[in-house]
Amino acid sequence: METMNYSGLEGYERPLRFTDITPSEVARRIDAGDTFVLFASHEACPWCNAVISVLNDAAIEYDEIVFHMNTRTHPGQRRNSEMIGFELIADRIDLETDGNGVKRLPVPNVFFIRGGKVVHNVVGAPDGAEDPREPLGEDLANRQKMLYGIGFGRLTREDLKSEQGIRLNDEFIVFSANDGETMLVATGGSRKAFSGLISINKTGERIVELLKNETSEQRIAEALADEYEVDTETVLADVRAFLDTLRAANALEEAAKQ
Amino acid sequence: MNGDMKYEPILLAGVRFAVYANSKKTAERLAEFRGDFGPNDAQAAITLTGKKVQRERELAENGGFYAEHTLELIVLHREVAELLPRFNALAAHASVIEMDGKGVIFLGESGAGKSTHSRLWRERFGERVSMINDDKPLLRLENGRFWVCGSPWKGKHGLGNSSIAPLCAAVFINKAKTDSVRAMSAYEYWRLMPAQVLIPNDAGRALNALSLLDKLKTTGVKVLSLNCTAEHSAAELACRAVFGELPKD
Repeated sequence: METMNYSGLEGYERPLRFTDITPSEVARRIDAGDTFVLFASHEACPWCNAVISVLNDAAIEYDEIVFHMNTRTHPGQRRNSEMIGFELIADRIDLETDGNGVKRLPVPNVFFIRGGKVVHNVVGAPDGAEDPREPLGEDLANRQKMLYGIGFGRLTREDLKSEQGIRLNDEFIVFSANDGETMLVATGGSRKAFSGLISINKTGERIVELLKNETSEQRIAEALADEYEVDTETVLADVRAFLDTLRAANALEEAAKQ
Repeated sequence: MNGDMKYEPILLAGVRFAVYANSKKTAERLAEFRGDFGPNDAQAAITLTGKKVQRERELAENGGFYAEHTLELIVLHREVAELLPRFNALAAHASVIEMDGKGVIFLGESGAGKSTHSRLWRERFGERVSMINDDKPLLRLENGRFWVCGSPWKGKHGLGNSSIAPLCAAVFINKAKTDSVRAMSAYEYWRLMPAQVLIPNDAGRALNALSLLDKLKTTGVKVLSLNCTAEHSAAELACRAVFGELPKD
């Protein structure tokens, strides 16, 4: 591991999980379809210092290393987009643009890359953090760690499931009773494995509706997040729990991963 | 293919079944439910083929050491249950009594004490109570009203007959240390009730079966949850909850 001169690491005693990487090495890894975590930041950036120890904590927890890409490569550089090799990154990662359509790379910026594709991205400091010179405090640090945790989680096999094609076993039917209860019931051969019924609420009904065509955990969560105007991360856990219920009843058909 | 099989006109939950069976004993067991109609007037036909019987034998838990007629009757129940919802009827797993001309069905998990509770009613209220069925009764919706019907599947004590009575209450039984009774919520009903009836494999008939359960609650049938001991006090409490009062002698 490198010696890093981030003030945010002063007094931080846990082993560091960072290793330096250049834009060309990032490009090579993406092109090779690698799975890795990319941390774009620089030592003078206050918010980078505010979150760096949290990111390291999360990396320890998930037993991953983090590739640190310094975005300030030469003296007098004003913007991260002026870093040497910026275009190698901009060509491969869907970066945000400024008002003039120019690509930019705000930091701290953590890209969770699986199979050469960004599957999760955490930019900046947690909402509610006001002064980067002050420690984040336990609540904000935990929230930030959770966001990183989602990213780390997506690198692992567990998350392969979230992109896997799933659909409702068509032997399961939806029944809505006059009293407002709605349920999913097995028919045909599926009754051998599951002869009860699954009570479902409005969200469950919507998920079942989406499952009538092949979809995935991730896409369901995205659709619901869009409809209810909340974060995908917020609904993903609920979607997963509901799908696990369906899975347990053999109500899901899982397609081979594409 | 029905060549050597015997035709039996059987009335179950008021539905005319043409049953073709091999075993004479099957016919004997069905005699009580024999109707008077020809094959062409039947509403549904069920043939108890050797193949079906063999399959049932393979499914049987004890290695299939059952008499042929026992297996034929199991096959028949499976197929009747599958077809009944087409005729607004259902096969249930329950114990059913009749008291003063009104039917009360006791439902619950295996071992919850359905048969025991029926016995408590018979002991406590004597001849006013008779058993319609102690294991697999049938339900039928007709003219906006639910009826509970006897069946040839009477359980290990062979209790029941071929009578039909208007269904007055459905009582879910739970074993408990003290007796208590209350109306059942919609949520509980849907969590428990479908497991007590045979939901067909066919999706259309499955929906029909569920919509029958839905209607059951809106046709004046009381749906109660009874926590009960195995004492006569439990039958008294249940009777009061079902009929509003204890029967007057």
